[in-house]
Amino acid sequence: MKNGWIRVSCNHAHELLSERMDKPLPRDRAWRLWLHLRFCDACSRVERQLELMRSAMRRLGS
Amino acid sequence: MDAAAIDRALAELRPGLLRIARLQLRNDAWAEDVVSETLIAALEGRERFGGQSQIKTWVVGILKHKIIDHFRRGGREVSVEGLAEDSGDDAVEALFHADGHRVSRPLEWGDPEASLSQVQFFDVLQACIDQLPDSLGRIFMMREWLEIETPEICKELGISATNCGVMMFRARMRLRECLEMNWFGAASR
Repeated sequence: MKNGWIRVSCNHAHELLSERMDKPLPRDRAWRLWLHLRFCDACSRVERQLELMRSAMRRLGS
Repeated sequence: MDAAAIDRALAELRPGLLRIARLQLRNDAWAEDVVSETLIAALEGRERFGGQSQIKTWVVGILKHKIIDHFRRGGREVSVEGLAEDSGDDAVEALFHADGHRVSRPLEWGDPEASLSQVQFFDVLQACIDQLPDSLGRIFMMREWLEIETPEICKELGISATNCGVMMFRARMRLRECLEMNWFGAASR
């Protein structure tokens, strides 16, 4: 998907997923990401994988 | 646990603590210093360890505090360089076509607990963090291991929020690829 006012590419969706791990996304970007994830299995996988990485890091060493 | 058992347990924990401290600090001498301080603090405070948690969890908690103390005191340990203006990252750019599509589909990683319950997974994870460029590794560890909020990290390091965000993104993407290649996609599993 190409970037547009509503569509975001997978590359950009990955960036938004990362950004969301550091701070809440502004509403428009949150909405575009949500829409992208509804239709994109690949990015939904990456979303779960980033969560797994976070859980793993919290347990690192303990 | 009696005092002798705690002493023994602490000695056994030392190599693991050093490995993690090195991942965060990227400097052997500084890592040795904070781990020594950690073990001394643990020895001095062993009466306070009532066995309420795993001794490992307790000591790693002390290590995190010691490292954050180092950062707060400021100085060389905090050297993280921001990215140069318009610098690219070939390792990350190679993941996407020019139109923003992924070059290859990410694998299905399966049940998280299946990995998180295995010691070997954490071995691979640490090896992958070790492969990150120093600045990306340091900043990623600050965020995800020390659990410092990103705005605070950027501020302390004097890096712009945008730059900081790009660094986090690159660290996460590189780490994801490394884990997929060496753990989730590895045939040996």
